[in-house]
Amino acid sequence: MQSLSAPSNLTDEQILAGTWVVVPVFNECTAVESVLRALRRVFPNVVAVDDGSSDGSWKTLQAHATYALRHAVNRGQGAALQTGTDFALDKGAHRIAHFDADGQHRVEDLVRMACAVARDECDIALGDRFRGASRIPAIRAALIRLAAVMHRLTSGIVLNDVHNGLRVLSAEAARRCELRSDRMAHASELIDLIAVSGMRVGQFPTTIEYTEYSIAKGQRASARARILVHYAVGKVFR
Amino acid sequence: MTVFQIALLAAIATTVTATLVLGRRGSLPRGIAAILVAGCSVGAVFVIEPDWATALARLLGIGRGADLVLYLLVLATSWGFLSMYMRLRAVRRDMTVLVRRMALDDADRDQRPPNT
Repeated sequence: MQSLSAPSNLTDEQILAGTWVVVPVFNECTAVESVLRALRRVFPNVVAVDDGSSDGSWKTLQAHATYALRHAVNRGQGAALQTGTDFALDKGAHRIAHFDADGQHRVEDLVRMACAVARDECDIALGDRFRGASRIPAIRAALIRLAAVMHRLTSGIVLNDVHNGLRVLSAEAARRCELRSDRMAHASELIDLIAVSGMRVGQFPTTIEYTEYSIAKGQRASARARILVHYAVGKVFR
Repeated sequence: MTVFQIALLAAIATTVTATLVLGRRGSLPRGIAAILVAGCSVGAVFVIEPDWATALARLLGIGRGADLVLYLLVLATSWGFLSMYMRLRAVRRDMTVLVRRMALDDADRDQRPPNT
């Protein structure tokens, strides 16, 4: 891991302890254990939110997360993130991190982003997979670019990568950006909230591991397209 | 009066009765109940006097009574779907609030020391 070279008065330990990592989990029992282990080696406060899984995920979370929360019924990733965020803020978190449960993110990328927010370089750190060492499948890359253009048109925010699940928000930013959409459209919703909030956004190179598993678990292109439509409909019928 | 007319009128009468009962119980908003009863009444008139539908259609420049009825049907179903969709969205949102609240309450209750 690289040097954290803390800001003025924050030690490395304080940065890591003040950054609460929220991991939304839905039927991820094969991958989530190693993800939680890797996070716990670095971050003392890992909040895993089981979003109504029907496999053994819940047991894994209880055993390996610092805090395990559970939705009785599946309500979508956005809802799970918001539940974890509320919990962490209530416990006094200084920063909230989002980290996917399928093993596609790297902990060292998160550390770098947490430091940037802790050092007050930005209020919100977003992962940018196009600048990391990711090998992005072509169709996925094209759809993400399309979504980025859409956000540029609708909310005027210029982002290289949108819908990257790796993020760090200052406590203040997390309070201002309360997610309300149930389903996957939360990534778009968050971008709108960021645009309105006027908070400082930093984009950080992140590497996404596109394993066979994460691709199989991830959204299909058709689902992505559907989410864009849902999001557009949501804009009309707010 | 043909068999079809009698069957249709019976169906309309059932719908109106159900609407009135539900409206009285308060399980159907008054506005929606009124719109349903009005729609059923117009339908009943057209069933009894099909020529009136044609006359009205001519007046509106549509031509055939059947077309007029079809257009009205399309409008009514679209409105029905839309209002149903909006209600479903509201229910889903409420459910999310509820589920999230429960998760946070459970977490507070457990309050077990973090596993280290």
